[in-house]
Amino acid sequence: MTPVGVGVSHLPALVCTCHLGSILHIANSICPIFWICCKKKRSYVLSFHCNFLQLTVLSLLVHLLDGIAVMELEEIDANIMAANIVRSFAQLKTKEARRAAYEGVLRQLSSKEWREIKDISSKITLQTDIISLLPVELVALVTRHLSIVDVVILQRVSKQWKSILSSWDIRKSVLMGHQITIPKGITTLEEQEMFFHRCARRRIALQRGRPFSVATYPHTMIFDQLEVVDQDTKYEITDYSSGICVGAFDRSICLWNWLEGVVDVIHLENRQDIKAVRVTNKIFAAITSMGHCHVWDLETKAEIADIRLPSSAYNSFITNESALAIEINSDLIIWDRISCITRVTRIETPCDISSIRITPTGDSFSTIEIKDETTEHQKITFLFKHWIFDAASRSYIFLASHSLCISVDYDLDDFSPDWSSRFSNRSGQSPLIFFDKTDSEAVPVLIISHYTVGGDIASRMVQFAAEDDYDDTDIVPLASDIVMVYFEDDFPWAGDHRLLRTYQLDNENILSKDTRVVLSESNLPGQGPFHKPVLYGDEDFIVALSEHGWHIWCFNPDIQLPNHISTRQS
Amino acid sequence: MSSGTPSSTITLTSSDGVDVTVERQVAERSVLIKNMLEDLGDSGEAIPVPNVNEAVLKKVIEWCTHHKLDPPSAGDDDDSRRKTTDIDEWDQKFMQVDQEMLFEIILAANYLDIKALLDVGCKTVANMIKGKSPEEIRKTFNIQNDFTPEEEDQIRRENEWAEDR
Repeated sequence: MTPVGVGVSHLPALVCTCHLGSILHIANSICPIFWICCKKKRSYVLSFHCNFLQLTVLSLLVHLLDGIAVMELEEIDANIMAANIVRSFAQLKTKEARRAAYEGVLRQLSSKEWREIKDISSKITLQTDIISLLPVELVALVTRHLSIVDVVILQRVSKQWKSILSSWDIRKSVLMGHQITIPKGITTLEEQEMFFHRCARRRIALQRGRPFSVATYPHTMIFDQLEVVDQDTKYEITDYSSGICVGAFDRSICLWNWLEGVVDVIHLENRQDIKAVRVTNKIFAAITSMGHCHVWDLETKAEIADIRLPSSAYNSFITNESALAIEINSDLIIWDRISCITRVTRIETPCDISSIRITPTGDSFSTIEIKDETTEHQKITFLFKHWIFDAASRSYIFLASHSLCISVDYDLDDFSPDWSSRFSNRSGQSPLIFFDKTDSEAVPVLIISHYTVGGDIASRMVQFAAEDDYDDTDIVPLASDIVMVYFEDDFPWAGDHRLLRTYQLDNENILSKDTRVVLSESNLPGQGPFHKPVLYGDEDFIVALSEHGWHIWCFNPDIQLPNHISTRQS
Repeated sequence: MSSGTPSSTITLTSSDGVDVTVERQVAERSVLIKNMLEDLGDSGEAIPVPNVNEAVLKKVIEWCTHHKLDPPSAGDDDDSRRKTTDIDEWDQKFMQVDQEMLFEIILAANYLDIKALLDVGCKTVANMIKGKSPEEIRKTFNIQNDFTPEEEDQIRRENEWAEDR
């Protein structure tokens, strides 16, 4: 170790008040620091083996960092001049002025000095490895906004980044940022590692539109087994939830389970027409033309409820988990499996209910309603309301309301039909989406995510670049930040080739221009009664119902799509 | 409660011993200071902020002044609070500082318990990271690659499925 005191007084020194970390960083890149001593609170004396030029530049840099630097030099002319430069520099008020002056000083130097200093100063940045320095709980707040790909790939940055980004706390925050729920049983390091990798692989496959398996199940496969004579029969009314599709077919209900390779056919007793069907991960339900709502258990296929409705003319029919809500003429009928009670409440609102989240016991629910204000430049308000069941008055009491305002620059009327169909979203878990099909310049798309965790609502207004005619575009949400887009007119020269693409929202809330082709199936629909396929999707599957049959793309490496589907009547 | 009272000022002392006078309403954007004022009452004495230096404190106050009229953010227990993912334009400009300052602002916002500022800071850092390659990240934050080529290749191979964006 260098003895203290010896030589120090002969070396040029700098008294600085500024963040020690940044000054050390800068000073080390200019010239080695010989000695540092702490004078008083956050003030340091630094001694250097350097010439006055280096010291001057160093002082200027300290000032650039909002610090104060005073040079301690032998009073020779050149040094006094340098001291004056630094003093004048310190009097400059704004950072911009200081930066400009700093660059000015560098330009004044002779070419040799210039080269030397420039080499040094180009190494100096006002940079900090923020991720390595922040405490882990704050890094988690940052990584919550990153994609899974970022977190995996950036492990290569440095050893420290690898250890931070592969920690479970950080991975958890990334998964939660993607609305992925982490099951309780995951405790050991291996389990955490496996869970993260499985989630990451699935998500990346989906983002990039690269399914692990693909299958097509022609309608004839089912019709032959059911001995249907009229093979032109269509499933007009369908719904989808986590690998299971439900469809009304010749006054029966068909339930396709792609995970098991089975189609269940359920016949209604009095063979009424079916007006609507819904499926969740727990139940499935149908409204008949006679004004009944039948509910079945998804696992046993046993009917668990028959709810008498005031009419069959429903406005919205929403299911989630083991509960359902039907709105008929401002009467909201709520049924849930746990209490098995049908409750009716009157919603005094001119709004459209776009989404409903019901608690398992039906004692409270939240709605998202759309309230449009008809002005030239549309401003759309989304109302988030919370209701609670009051046993005394036997009705729901409106508790709290939060609104989310979005200005939309076009006429609502133009896309209102699509609006409602997107909003009567099946589970309320995937984002709600609407977009304007009439604007050929650009297609603004509004995506509203209603998060399960914390019940947050997030909106993103995104824009498609004008590159095509969007008349027949279909947008289907797959995950909180991924949508699937179907272009009717893609590659029109390729006959009946059709493409599906997935888009991911990027930083600027623009649907990524880097589009990925999901499929180009030559047997996807062209003409015929199916103008275009009916599309469904989530994080594991993309499902398209066409006149030929069901087309499934699976993005979960753990699921193997069956080769054959067999029917089962009940 | 405070709607009728005239806006008073309070004094904060930074870690480097500088006194900064600030409107009480502005300072109360910080939950830490708000609670301190509520617990201790306004004695007129300067409140020490031992973890934040003058430059950073002034920057934080600038932010609080601009946002002093924002509705107070809902508590964590409120399950229906809303959240948007954008950073507003003023905040974006405000965050155009060097990385050292950005780092200090995040630490200060966390210490002073100013949720909205902490959030903006973290989103700003996230935006600096998103979609970049490891090489770009090293450049952005001036990080030395301390892996040997073999080690780096090993990690690359392990995560092959995620590479090739």
